[in-house]
Amino acid sequence: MLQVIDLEKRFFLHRLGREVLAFRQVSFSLQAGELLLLEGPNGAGKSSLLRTLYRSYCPTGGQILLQTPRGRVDLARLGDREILWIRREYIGYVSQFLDPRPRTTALELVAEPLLWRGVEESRARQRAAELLLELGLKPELLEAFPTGFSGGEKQKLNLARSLIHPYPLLLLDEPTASLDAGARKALRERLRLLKQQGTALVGVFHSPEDVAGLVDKTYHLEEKQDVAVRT
Amino acid sequence: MNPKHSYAYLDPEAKREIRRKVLKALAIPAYQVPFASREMPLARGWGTGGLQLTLSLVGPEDVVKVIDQGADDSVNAANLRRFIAHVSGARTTTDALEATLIQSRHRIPEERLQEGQILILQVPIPEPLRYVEPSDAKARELHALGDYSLLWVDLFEEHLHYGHSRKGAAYPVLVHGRYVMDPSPLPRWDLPKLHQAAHITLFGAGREKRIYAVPPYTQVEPLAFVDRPFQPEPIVGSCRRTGCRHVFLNAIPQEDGSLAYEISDQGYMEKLLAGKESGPLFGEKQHG
Amino acid sequence: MVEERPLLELVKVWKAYGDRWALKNVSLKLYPQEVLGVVGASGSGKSTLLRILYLQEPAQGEYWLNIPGWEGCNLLSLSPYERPAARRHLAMVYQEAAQALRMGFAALTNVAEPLVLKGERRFEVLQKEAQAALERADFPLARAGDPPTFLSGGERQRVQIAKALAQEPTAILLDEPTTGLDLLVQATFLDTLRRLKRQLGMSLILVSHDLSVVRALADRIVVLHQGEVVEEGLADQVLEDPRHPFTQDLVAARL
Repeated sequence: MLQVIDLEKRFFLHRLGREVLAFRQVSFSLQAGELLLLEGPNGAGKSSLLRTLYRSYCPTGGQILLQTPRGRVDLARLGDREILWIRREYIGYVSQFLDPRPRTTALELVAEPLLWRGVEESRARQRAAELLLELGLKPELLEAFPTGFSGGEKQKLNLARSLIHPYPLLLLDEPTASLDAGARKALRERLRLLKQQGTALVGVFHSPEDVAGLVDKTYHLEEKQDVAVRT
Repeated sequence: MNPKHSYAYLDPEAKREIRRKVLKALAIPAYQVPFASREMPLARGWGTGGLQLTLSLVGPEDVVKVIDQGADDSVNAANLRRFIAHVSGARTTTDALEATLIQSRHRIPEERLQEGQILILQVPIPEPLRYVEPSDAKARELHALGDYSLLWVDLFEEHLHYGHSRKGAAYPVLVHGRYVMDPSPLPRWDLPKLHQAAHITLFGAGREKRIYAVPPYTQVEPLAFVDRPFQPEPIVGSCRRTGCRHVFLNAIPQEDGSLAYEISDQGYMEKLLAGKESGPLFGEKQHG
Repeated sequence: MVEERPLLELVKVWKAYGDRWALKNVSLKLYPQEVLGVVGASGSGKSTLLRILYLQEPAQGEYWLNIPGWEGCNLLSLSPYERPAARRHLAMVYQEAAQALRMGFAALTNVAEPLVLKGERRFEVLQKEAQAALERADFPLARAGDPPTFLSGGERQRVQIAKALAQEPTAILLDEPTTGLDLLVQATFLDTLRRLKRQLGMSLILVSHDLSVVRALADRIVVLHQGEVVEEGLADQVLEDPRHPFTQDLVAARL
């Protein structure tokens, strides 16, 4: 369902007159229900690759072929409006960053992706509550504003928000950072469930135990070499 | 008549200009037509606009009534009436139904005026937007665009804070569905008389140099919310001389601090007191 | 793949003040239910762009609103008497509330005004709908009778939003709506806008020099530099992977 061919991302930093290579010649394929683990040393471009798959970065070479009910599309070549649609329906992204939202409760934040899809409000809130409790969030925090949460609590919120809607493709960038053991275990179970339901996953994980028994494929990124220095 | 002056005091060019402006004003109901307001032998603010209208329209066969707050015998009304009679040779009267031209400050007579009669009102501020839009240039644009949102906003604010409009006089009216006009400082009681009237109503503002008009059988609707309809003043008390309570009454403070009331339309009161027959009132249902 | 028509479109718009070009060959599209951010340094032309979008200034080029009754009508060719009708479909939220609100009239009255202009003449209905709009904008109803002169900056902006919502425009234009508000007020105000975006599917064009404000709300971003569009793309992509030298400068300058 996902096929990446010769993907490359270079940055051109005009003020510095430099070209920076994030990664090159990345190729892999992934079927529904498979989990691809990205590994490599720090700075090798793992996060950049995930961001490129999500089209937060524009690839400078190669193809990202995604199978959708509407046919096969190359994310590298799609227009902005189409990418927005793909992100809403197809690709989820889990990272470590949470937008500060002072007046939205944890429950509302997690229910939001469902509300966008027209799920009825009480049903959305119920599912959101279930997921958050599953990940180990304390019940009294459900109706609290996340500004006061600890790092781990914020990360649970992040995860829940990205996992609540079953995307066909899910990208995960260090999702277990700042999570306690219980939450990591809950996440592993969720991922197993998602795989069973046919979700394809590409992820960078802090430690291999987080995805023990779930990895179908591995892709190793080498330390990149700067290709050229432009003056 | 004094041969030193042109007929009716105004020179022929002045009369011609004013008559043309009157025709234009009648053709565009409630539209403020600018005119070259002449110097009159009375100070600005005392009815020079109304006077110029009367002098441009009066002829030797006319019968003229002049009132001030309903009274024929107030100093202002008496002066104007004597002057008009002197320079035109027209007859004068206090009977509203007998007059062909009625110049008035602040009131419309109670007896229903007929086709062929002309009511001329003296107007201090012709611009209904003046108090909500101080710039005259902007106000003119708003009139051109038919944008009276400021007046509605003002009305909303009044209802929001007081539950009703507090304007006692000069209540803005929409004429012929197009222009909003200031009906001169008439009490609210008089406004329904303008609606679909058989007579012509002219408005003259001498200091502001504007003429506007409501031709016969024209829609004149006070601005009001549909669920908060326009209400004329309720009549409190009864006339101390006739006992009437169905027409507008003047409140007269007494020495002991209480209020006594008298019919404001003096001509009408005189008819009642003399036992003379009066015509149907504006307030009564139309026959036929 | 996704067939859709833009709601609002500018095509090749040029604007000069004397012999200085403020906008050169600017084209942009606003799609339904999206927030388009417009960023750039001072003097880039973004405020001029908004004034043109709100039909406050003439310009050369084409401006299309793809809504029933307005197809095929280039808004830039309208006479001053035709513009108010077109402006009914656009609402503007200013940095300074005084530019949009009647500061001496109650907040509720301000919000009722567009409803009156649309033709509503029942006081009870006006009051109720204006209150509902204020509520949707998270405005404290207890202060609905206060005029904006007595309200805080954040409250004034909410009154502007409520007034825009009452108008039910095709698109809302926002000119630096949070500049001048302190940070917590800014954050709560953005929250309101985000919620409204989700609940009402509003289409917004947001001009701000504050990239975090744009990041919080925008789906797509257009970058203006010296009157020209130098880059456009998805919001996160323009801010994380800027390609034009000016955009890179702009993003790098974030604190």
